[in-house]
Amino acid sequence: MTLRPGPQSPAAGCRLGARTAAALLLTIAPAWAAWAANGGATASATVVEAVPIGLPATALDLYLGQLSPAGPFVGSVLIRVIGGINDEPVALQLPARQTVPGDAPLTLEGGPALLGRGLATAITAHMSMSSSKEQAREAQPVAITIAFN
Amino acid sequence: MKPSRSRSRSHSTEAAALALLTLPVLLAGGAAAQTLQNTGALSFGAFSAGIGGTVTVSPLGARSKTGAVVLATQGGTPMAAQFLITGTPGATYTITLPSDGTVLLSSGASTMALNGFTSTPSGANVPLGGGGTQTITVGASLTVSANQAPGNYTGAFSVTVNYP
Repeated sequence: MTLRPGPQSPAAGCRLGARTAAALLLTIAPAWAAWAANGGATASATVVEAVPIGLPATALDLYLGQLSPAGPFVGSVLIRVIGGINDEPVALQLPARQTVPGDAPLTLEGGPALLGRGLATAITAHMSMSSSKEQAREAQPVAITIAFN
Repeated sequence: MKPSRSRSRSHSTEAAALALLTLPVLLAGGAAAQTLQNTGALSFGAFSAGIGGTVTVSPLGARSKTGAVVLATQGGTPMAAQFLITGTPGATYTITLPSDGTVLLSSGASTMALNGFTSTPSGANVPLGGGGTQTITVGASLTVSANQAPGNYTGAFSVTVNYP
């Protein structure tokens, strides 16, 4: 017995070729997708408002809360931000050195910090002064205005 | 001599059959369930802009800055983005990161551009390892303009891994 293909027009042949190509594309596309994996991620940043120098929103009530009996004075410094610009916390850049009355250098540590409005925060201050106990007793809280950046 | 219609049809049928038989084999052997899943977002934390500069988060999550930007230690934890890649153990792949300036973080009408994307591991022909999984961490540099408007900035980016 001989099997003969049925009659087929050239147009039918073209249709079959198109179907084959389409089938290939449909099959290959997911394959390529699997060979190149893609992943998305989110990115975020928060820009906070800095308090310019000269605004009334400056540091208040800054004092040395604790004095060591001898050696460089070390104490906590309280900073409270009053006033303000909006409800966001403000960025505070501490100066490297401050000078207190008597020309004694005062170094503040803690680096830039965010201060919540109206809240007080404590940082550490080192004051290089005479190490005598007498002078330490005579030392009074100092008021220093910190410049905001 | 013109080819017969039956021969032409036979070729088309053979091509289709070959495709159906061959492609599943290729799929099973060459690209078994390669996936890239994001498991952590990229965060630059909080900072003030000043007169501008850059904030960079390394693939290890370390943050640094240039210019007048003041980094704040509160208001957000800096983190590198994390992806988990899963695929054929021992396979190698190439990591493609976004180009400079193509990713923006926005807050309202204000934007900041992300540049200098880096990853660990990085580059081409990275071995996936015997376990078939690997963590990729991605960092970038954020360009901050002078007097950048305060706000919470967000954006999105994509990472692609290609298998040879």
